[in-house]
Amino acid sequence: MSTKKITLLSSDNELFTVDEEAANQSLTIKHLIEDTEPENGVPLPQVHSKILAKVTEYLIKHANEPDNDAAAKEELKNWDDKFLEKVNHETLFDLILAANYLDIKGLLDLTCQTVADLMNGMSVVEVRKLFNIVNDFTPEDEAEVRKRRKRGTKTIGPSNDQANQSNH
Amino acid sequence: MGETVNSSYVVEIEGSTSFNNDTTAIIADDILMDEILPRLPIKSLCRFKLVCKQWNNFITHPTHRFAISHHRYASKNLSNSAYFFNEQTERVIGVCDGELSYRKATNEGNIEIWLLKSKSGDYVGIEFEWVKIFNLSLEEIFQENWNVVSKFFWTRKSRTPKKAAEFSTKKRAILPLPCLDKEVVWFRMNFRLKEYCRNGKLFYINIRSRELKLLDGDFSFPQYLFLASFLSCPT
Repeated sequence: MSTKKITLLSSDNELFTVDEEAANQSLTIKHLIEDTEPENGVPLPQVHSKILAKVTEYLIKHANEPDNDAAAKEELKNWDDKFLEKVNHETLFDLILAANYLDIKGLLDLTCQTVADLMNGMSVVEVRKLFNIVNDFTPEDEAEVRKRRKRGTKTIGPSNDQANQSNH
Repeated sequence: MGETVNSSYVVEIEGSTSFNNDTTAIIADDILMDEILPRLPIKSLCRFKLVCKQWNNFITHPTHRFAISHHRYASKNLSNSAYFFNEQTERVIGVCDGELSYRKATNEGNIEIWLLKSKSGDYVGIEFEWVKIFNLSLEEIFQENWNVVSKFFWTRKSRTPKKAAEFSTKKRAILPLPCLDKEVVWFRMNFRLKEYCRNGKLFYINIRSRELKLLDGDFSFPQYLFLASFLSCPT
């Protein structure tokens, strides 16, 4: 079986070539190819080359997902971990947007889980910063939410929750 | 710098957004709500109610859809979560992640259920219909009840489901979950003991018809099963 090559065109007009099998993991690309049969590469005006490079790296690695091979699965998982290890928040968010736009389920799962894990270790203030969210609580509102939460968490057992650490 | 913000009690200083000025990507709400937040444990979600009003609202009143995906991720990670739904409003009326973290009262006030896990690993379903009478917070009620539960039920691990159910008819506010072999759930409805054997399924309660329904056939739900009952049936 010959492998057809697919060319992807980033927003800044850089070309990326991948096997069709790899490209088809993106349902958006798959449908674009089926519908428009583009000759000069599949245009992806929403994805910058910096991000598309990462995305294609992922697509190529995941083109042949192991089914039953536990060792290969483990290897792939380790690769996934490494893949996002050095990525900064900005790139991570860009990757989420790209994975969402390109409809690559595996990559969306991976990146969103990474953000969730990241958030897990964060304070409320850090999370606000991460998502650029402005605290719109009035001090009274905030005290109320805090109060409710505190009451709720102190009820069972020892907990590491911050609410438990302060005396009331 | 990181050390200064590791408590949620730190007040955000105005104009301290420089951290994020270079972030070009803004995660759309739907990705956040559908893909990221459901992956967080309930404990973290409770904490992040403080992020902003929108989050508080969303986390305090989780949608049906959110609960389903949260449950899916939670069971994948081997932590537990269970939800009770009101079909009419498609809202979660109760939720438990296996070690009590979170609850939501029903607006209708017909049913209030908590499913709780004790420190020793027992599961307990609690009804809160009478909460309204005292107009207390659920947390306060729960704390009271938990003491009762712990005193009584922790010593009765070996009770058969039937006896447990008989007991619960008398003490209607508290029901033990006979989590015998992780496969059998005893479910009491209208004060008639009914037996349901289900494994790996998530249920919800239809308030109006008082039926226990399967939420979705495909959930992996191996860690625990839950029990609930209706309190306000005329005897």
